[in-house]
Amino acid sequence: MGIAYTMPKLAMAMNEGTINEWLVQHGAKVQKGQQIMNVETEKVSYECESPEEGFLCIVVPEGETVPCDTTIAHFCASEEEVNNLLGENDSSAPSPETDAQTSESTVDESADASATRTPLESVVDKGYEAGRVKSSPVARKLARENNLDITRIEGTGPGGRIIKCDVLAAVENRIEPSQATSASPLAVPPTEGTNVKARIPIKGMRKTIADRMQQSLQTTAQLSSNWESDVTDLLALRQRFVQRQEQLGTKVSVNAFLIKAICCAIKQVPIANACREGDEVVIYDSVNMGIAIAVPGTTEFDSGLMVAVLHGVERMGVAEIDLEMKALIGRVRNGEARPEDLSGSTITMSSTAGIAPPGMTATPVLNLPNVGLVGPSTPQQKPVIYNGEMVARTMLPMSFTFDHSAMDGEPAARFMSALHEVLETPELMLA
Amino acid sequence: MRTLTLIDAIKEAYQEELRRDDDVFMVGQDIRGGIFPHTKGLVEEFGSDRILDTPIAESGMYGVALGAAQEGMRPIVDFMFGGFSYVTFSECSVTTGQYHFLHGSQRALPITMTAGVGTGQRLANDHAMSIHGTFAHHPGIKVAMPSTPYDAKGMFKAAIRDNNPVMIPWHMGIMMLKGEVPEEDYVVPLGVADIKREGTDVTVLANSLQLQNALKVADKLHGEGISCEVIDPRSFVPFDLETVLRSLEKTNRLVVVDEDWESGSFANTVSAKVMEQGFDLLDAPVTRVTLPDMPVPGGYMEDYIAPNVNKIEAAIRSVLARIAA
Repeated sequence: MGIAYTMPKLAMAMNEGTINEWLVQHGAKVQKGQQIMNVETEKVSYECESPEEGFLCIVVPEGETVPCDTTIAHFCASEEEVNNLLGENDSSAPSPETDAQTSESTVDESADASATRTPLESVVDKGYEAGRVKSSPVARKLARENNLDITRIEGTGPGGRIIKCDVLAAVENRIEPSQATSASPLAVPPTEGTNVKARIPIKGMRKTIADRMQQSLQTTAQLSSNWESDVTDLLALRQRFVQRQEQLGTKVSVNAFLIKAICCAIKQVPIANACREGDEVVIYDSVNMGIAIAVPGTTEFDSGLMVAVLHGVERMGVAEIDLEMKALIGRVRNGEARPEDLSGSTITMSSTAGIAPPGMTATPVLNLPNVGLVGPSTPQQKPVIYNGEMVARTMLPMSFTFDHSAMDGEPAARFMSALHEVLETPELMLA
Repeated sequence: MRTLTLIDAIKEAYQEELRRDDDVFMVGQDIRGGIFPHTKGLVEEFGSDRILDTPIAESGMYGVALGAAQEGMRPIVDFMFGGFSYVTFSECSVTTGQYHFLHGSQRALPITMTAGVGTGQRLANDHAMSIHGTFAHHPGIKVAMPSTPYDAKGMFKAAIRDNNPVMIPWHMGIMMLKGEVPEEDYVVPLGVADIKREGTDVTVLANSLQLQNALKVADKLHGEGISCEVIDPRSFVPFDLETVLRSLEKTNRLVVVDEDWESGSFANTVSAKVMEQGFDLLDAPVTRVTLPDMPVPGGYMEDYIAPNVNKIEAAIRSVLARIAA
């Protein structure tokens, strides 16, 4: 590597110097004490003598200003070494520190090493200690908060230490990746003669949705049940609220009534308002309603999906639910969501009303870790037997998706019945 | 805004405070002549009664300041090189720090002490050592050190106006560092750290010359996508731990650069405090860049033991290290 020649510090207050002129050619042999460079500081210019003998490899050209102690040239043992050095130094000059140390092997490097403690080396040298899981404090805290078993996470820190980003990756995947997903079961895509309209990258929000939906179907025993509720009276009740729009401060939506009805049903069957957390099913007192909302996708052809969370809806009346829900959806759509706006749901509502064809029944996918999802769709007028006569009533198609590993058919059916009853008899919301 | 060198910013602080308050005076060795330019020319404006030269006898020199401060004056003591403050260490650190306590919190001792410190000039031993850690170790004295010309003027003025004894050395490695300095009167309060550069991946705590080095490393690593938050403690006593902990909530990694010997250093104090009060924030061991425990050698040998950009970069990389997944 040769011996580094650095910009000399010629005065106490000199911080940088300009190389006016190299007095010898690049690659030429120089003697110790020979004048090799004219350097200029803020005040004066100096002719500098060579501190070494050797073939000069110039790193910093004439006219450039560099800080003191920057490597400006090397003294090489041979012309060949000059050429070798040039090849190495195409892009960046070697640092004076590294260079000086390799060339002057007499210098004790232990001083250097003790000044900068590098835990990396000491830990890696010892190798991985079997039986003990190394993890950083913040990684353990995050694992605890997310109910993750830290021993199942692979560490990528020094010595295999589990660090923050490893836990965050595990939270993202929730479980360890399964081995089966690598092989592509998809058919070979068409190639020639087929025009592509758009390509939607499976990344960002699309990737999150893809992963969560897959995970939901693979890790739970979910199933959906469907029924219809007569919401004629509920819609009439809602009309009376709409007429009082100014007084209430909002045009109360059907969704607000549906959320209220779900809260009433939860009161009777609390297990519908629960999450799968590790080895437990946790049933919550307060109802944090996850509301699935469609957002724009990456192209005009696709869409995105987010679950906005309305916290503590069991304490609210329909007008308050409506106001809070509209504000929440506004924040999410405008990218102003607060962290709590997108997390902490205890049950989910995914409505396709107005988008789906009237009467459509669906089997929505559970929003983990919630164990229940209520899926109202588009209502339609139908002939039904009402008080012994066939009349036209407005029927709302409903679905309830639940995780059978957390909740059996018995409470699930009771929940659906309770919800059905409130929807058909909205006065029960006062109960 | 106009720019000044760090040393001229300190001089301006002296000038403004000497004009503002007749009780302020300076005492030191050859400060009239001005070995370092921060006192040069002061005697012409303020006279030989307020710019006092003493023989090379630090105990006597400091005794003048101690006695005057006990009588209500506000002396500025210039030890020229920090290492020489130790000649009168019993008075300037032990006695001075304990004075207020020993007098039942009844008597203030408004002394400002200063000196040139640090590596970078290759002056060796007591001409190149740091003293902030030692003074910070002894209770009762505020200890601070500026890293920029702006901070220098504001912190020296704060020190002179403080009713506590303050040791505020300045680093010779950045005496000619230029920066913007307002012409008006302002104070940078002691005990408040300053985030000199915001970042998200690692927090680097560094001061004076090493702060400037840390900023250079941060610039370089920025090109690799590594985002360093560089914090200047500015004061060692009182120390603004909160700013560091807040930063760690974001970065979870801390490198402390301290141009002092490793054992018993300020870097150790920070490291211990962070482990006690911010343990759950850490994703990697707190890593220190300090001088090894050996006297500062003269000449080029200094380069091998002083903290520098390469050592700071190595420390940052070590706390960010990951094995290939």
